[in-house]
Amino acid sequence: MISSIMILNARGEIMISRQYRDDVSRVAADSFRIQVIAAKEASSQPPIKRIENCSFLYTRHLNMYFVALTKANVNPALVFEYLYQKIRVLKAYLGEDFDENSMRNNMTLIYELMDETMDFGYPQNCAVDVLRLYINLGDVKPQDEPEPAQLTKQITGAIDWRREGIRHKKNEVYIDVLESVNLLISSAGNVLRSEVTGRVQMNTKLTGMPECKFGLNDKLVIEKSSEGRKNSGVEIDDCTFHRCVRLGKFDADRTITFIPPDGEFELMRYRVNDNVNMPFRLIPAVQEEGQTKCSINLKVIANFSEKLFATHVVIRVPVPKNTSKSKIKNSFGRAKYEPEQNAIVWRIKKFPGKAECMLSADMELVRTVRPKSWERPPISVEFQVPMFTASGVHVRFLRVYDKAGYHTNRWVRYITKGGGYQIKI
Amino acid sequence: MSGQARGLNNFISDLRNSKSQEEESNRIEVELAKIRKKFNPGDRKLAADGSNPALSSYQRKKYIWKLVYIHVLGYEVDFGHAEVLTLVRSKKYAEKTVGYVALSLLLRGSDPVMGSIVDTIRADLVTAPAQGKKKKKADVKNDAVQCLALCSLANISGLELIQAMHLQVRQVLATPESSEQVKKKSALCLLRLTRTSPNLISGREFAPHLAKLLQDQHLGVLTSVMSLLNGLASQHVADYESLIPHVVHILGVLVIKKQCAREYLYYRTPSPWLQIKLLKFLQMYPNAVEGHDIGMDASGYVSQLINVVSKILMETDVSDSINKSNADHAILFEAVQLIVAWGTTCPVTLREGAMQLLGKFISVREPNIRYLGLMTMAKLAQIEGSVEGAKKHQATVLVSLKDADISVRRRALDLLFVICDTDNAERVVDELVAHLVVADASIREEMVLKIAILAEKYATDLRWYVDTILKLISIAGDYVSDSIWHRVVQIVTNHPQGDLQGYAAATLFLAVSPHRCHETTVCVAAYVLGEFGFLIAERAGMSGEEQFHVLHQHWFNVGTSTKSILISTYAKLANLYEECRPLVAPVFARSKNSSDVEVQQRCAEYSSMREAFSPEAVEDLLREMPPFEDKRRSALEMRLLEKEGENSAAVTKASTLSEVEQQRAMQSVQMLSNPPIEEEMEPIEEQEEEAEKDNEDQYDPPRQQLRDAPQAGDEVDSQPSPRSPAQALGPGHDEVNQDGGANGRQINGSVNGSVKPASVGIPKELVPAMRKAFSNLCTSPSGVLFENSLLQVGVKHEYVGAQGRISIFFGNLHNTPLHNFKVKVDQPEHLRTQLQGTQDLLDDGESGTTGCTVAVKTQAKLLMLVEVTSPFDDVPSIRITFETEEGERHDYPLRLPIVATCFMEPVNLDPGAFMQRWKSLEGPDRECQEVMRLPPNSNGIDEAYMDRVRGIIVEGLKFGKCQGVDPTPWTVSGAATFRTGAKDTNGNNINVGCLVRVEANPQANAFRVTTRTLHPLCSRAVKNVSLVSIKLAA
Repeated sequence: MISSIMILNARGEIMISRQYRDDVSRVAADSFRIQVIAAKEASSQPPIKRIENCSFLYTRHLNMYFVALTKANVNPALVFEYLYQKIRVLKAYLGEDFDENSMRNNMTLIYELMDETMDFGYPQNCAVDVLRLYINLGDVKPQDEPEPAQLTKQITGAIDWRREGIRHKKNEVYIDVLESVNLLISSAGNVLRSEVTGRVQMNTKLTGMPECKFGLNDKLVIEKSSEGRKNSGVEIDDCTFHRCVRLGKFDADRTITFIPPDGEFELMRYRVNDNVNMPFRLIPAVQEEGQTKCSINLKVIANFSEKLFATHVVIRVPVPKNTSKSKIKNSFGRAKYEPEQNAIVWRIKKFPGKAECMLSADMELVRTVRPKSWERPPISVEFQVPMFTASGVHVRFLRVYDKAGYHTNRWVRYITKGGGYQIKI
Repeated sequence: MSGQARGLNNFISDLRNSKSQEEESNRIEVELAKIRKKFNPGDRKLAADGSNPALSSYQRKKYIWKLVYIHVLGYEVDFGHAEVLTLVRSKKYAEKTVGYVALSLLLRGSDPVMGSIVDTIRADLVTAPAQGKKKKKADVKNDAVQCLALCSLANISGLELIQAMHLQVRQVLATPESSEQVKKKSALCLLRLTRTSPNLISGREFAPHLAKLLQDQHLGVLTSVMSLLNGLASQHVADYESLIPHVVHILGVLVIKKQCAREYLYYRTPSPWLQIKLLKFLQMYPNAVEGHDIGMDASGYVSQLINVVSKILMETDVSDSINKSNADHAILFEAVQLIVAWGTTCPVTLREGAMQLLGKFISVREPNIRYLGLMTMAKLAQIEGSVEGAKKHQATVLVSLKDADISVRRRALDLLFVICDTDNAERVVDELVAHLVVADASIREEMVLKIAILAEKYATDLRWYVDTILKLISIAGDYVSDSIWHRVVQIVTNHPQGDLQGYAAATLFLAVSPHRCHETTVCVAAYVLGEFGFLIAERAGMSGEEQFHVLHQHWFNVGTSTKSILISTYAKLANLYEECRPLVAPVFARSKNSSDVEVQQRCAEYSSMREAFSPEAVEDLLREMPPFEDKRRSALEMRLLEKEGENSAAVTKASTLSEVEQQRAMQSVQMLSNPPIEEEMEPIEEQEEEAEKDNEDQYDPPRQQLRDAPQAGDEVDSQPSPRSPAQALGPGHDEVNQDGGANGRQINGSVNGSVKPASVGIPKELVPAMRKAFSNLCTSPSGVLFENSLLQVGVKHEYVGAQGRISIFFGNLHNTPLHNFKVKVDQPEHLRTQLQGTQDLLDDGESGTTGCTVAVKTQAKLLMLVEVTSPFDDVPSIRITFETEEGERHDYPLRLPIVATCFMEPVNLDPGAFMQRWKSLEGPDRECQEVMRLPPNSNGIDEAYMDRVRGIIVEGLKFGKCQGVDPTPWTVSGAATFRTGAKDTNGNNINVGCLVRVEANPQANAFRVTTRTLHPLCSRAVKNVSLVSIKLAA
């Protein structure tokens, strides 16, 4: 398990160091500083480094390194999840962009959090809402303080993520469905790999201990409930849930029921493999003329409805490494040759649905010493399409039952992003 | 310059300030893009040589400097050669410098653009040295240009470039008009070139030129020329022997006359670097001073040489200035090395002088000098007749053994080992044992081995030997290998004289009496007490029962192998002493169900022995071991026998060695007379078995019981082969062999010489299996090509278009390493091959590579990249040669499964297109047909068989399935393209379309294979491969 957690600044100096076990000493930070930070390795190498039997698993926030040290054979996914949670907790306490200074000013708070979130190298409660019940320094406003006795009861009770007696004037639930599309298309236009990974984020502001029931257009559920309507569901492949969801019930009849924590949390993650709606279609044409010329034509078509539009579209069209001059013509947006990326980067702020646009580029190349063919890396696309889901998932219902029987306002939002959206040329 | 290249400075400081790898590489990409843009002429035309004429000289220099810097940082720079060449061609010196620097860094000898620059380099090389009339300044400049050209030539050194240039370089070197600077550079350049292509220069031709150069007055030139000469002479020693007088002359000038230019004096020592090089050169000729004392000194240089060396020996002293003494000592040690190289041909006075001097050095406090002194003294002492001199310094050496520095200690140990002989053995060994107590763990193992060897070799009293080894075990038991105690047992067993056995038994009894002792002690004691315990049974407190108790107290602390020995001992004790039987029986009963098979078996057999056999037989079985065979006799025994007068006085250490050598030689001859590889190990075993049988006949117990007759001697017997003790003790102790002197070595040489030529090929009975493996590999991507008891050859091959990548693995299946492992790949014309293998594996046909060694259970690897250039129907072959540990040579020619169909690319045709092509390819040149009958005993042709054939055609031979072309299941058709890497006149790759059709006739049990391609060779090749694979499918 984790032996020690350290937070280092950009120069590799220790700001925070908490030892959970005694098989790793503070001195180990030196070797991390020398071999990772000084070697400028942090951005290009995998985030796990093994030095003399000690594994360093690290991540960065601004220019601070959050490092977990261990000598055991740990599950790296667990360690990284803990580090991310840790950063989330610190963000909640110190503000979104906490930095070195704010860390130094809240030293005691941070050590308190360190002790509370991990015990003997095993991660403990990392839920912000719960932590703020008894650690309330920093930006976190103390809520109506519960009795110490009640606190213990809650932490050790069955529902440790929600305390009793929460009150809101307005009862509201915000649901965000965030999807990211991973796609790989061959140069002939065949889909080699398509996949959507999605998350359901919730922000609940509900009174009391409400019981919620949540429904997506899951194919299995729909086919069972209404025989008549076919092909209106989505096959959801892998689901993982927040621990408030009753898994037994989900296993039995695939209904998602839970008592939500108060505030923001991630209800579930899922993956969809079949019937992915591609938001964009790209038709590239590349011609290499001898050793010194190369031209690329690219047509981009938006596949979603006219009512919607994509934002922050960035299309990276790779060019040969020995490009010396480029002439680019494009219909809208801005396109530029960026040598750092060896690509023409085409940025379009707003891309309306069903629109088509073109880009044509002529490159002049310098002769190379040894003739070498261009390996043609794929074109990659980044984008965001609000109110569109590539998987077709949508929220069917969210029902809130509470003893008080109050009325709840529900808000749903969808966003699809480009993950690894690539087209081979 | 600094004011000019601000852009360059900024760029470099940007890179230095970058915080991450990413930032740095981004900055470099941006800079490269900018430079590419600058090198692009835009709307204007490029100059004739491909450079941008719009660039100013300053810009061009600046950008090339940037490219060089980027390259030096490790990024790939693959453009800008045109600009580099422009700079090289330029007339201005400033531009030429940049050009040459970039040339030697950015380009390689194999690059195609090199061809266009050869003329410029040549012109720069032969720039005629300015005539007297011209100005001095121009002269200097020409030299500088010549030097630039030489430098970059040495740095690039591509094969073609060397071929084109080496004559010029030689000319420059030989021309008397060249300035000193140029001569220096050209000598070093030539050295570099000969290193890349070793047979560039013929020594006989070139030696006179070098002789002339060696008469140069300039010491700098001489130093460079000597570097060149040393390099050349290490390749072909004999060719440069004629130069010795010149070298001696220079040495004489430097050492005796002390003539030296001021700038080459280093702390008043005349050019130490040159002196060392001269001495190093002389070390290559160990016979140079042969016969000087009988007046065979024709040219007089030998006496001069001896004068020089003795002067170096006399005049060198420890001086105050560290630099001065370092330089002097370096020369001195080279001189001593020279004496060592001369060996016995060296005048005795010189050797004694050297020894004396070294004696002085090894008592110095400075560890470096002492280290060198000890090392050199050890070398010197190995020369016959020098040991006496070294022995005088024994006390000093013993002091060094306690040095703080481990490397000094190690050297001291080596030296002690060399100077030890009968006279001082006892003292040296005692000292070593005393030191062993405090010695470092890292040196202990080595010490233990050496002590054991010395103690055995020079023991005057065997009791002392036994004591010493016991002491060794008690001090450093973990480092005492099995072979050491096996040796003790052997010696004790073979020497019934003088109550050695009784003494050993008593000593060991005392050694195992304490509750704690080392496991090895228990082993020795168990064995010796089992054998000779009866000799001491009468003594007080050492009765059989007590012997048992003393041994049995260790029973629970020892491993299973020791337990096995203990069990045998118990059995013997129980046999001898009635009172031991009740003690032993429960031990056997309990261990009968031990988890270790050996222990279990021994117990079971011993305890049931009495019921199964007659008392006489049991008695016979448990009698003491017979003496070990004569051939296991060691140097030690020979010496003792000699003393007792049983052998002629002429037997010396050397002859012992030679005996062992002879035995080994005989064995290898026997092995060679048994060519089949599978059987090669058997004859020896049989021999040994026979020998054992003879032995056993002496006391003639039933054969079946014999196997069970457990003897601790089993362990001794299991030593691999008869060897001298030193060899048996482990590798790395050849020093003992060297003691044998020239005599032993000669015998060794002649034996090797007579045995070598015969070698073992592939036995006939393996051929069908190999053929099958070969055909299998033609259609599958990986498999075993060849396998016997020694070697396994595995092949993995994959192909893309006309190119293939073949990995060949040579795995050693034998239980000893395979030496001189060489693979020779023949390179047929139709394949362009590139080879890459484990170091020294490849036999390139040139200069005798010795090959590599493939250790037990490891493999060597050879990677072949091939590109096919034209159709073909034969296959490339390789030749594997190696020697086994026993010196047996093996030579296997193998065929590699690189056949035409490997380079096929499937083509799917519809029936119409197939028939159209089929018709268009009619004609005798294009068609190839053969009918094959299956052997009558086969199962006949059914549909399943046809499915297999279809599978082979499609997957194995990479033909495209032609759906619908075959109306019945009895035909299979396929189409494919044979890809080659050769280009036609338009620059496209040449491809050959191939069609194949297999028709079966189930009634006649026969196949007809027809292939039609554009190329007759191709047709034939495809047909052959198809036939073989179809046959395989049966």
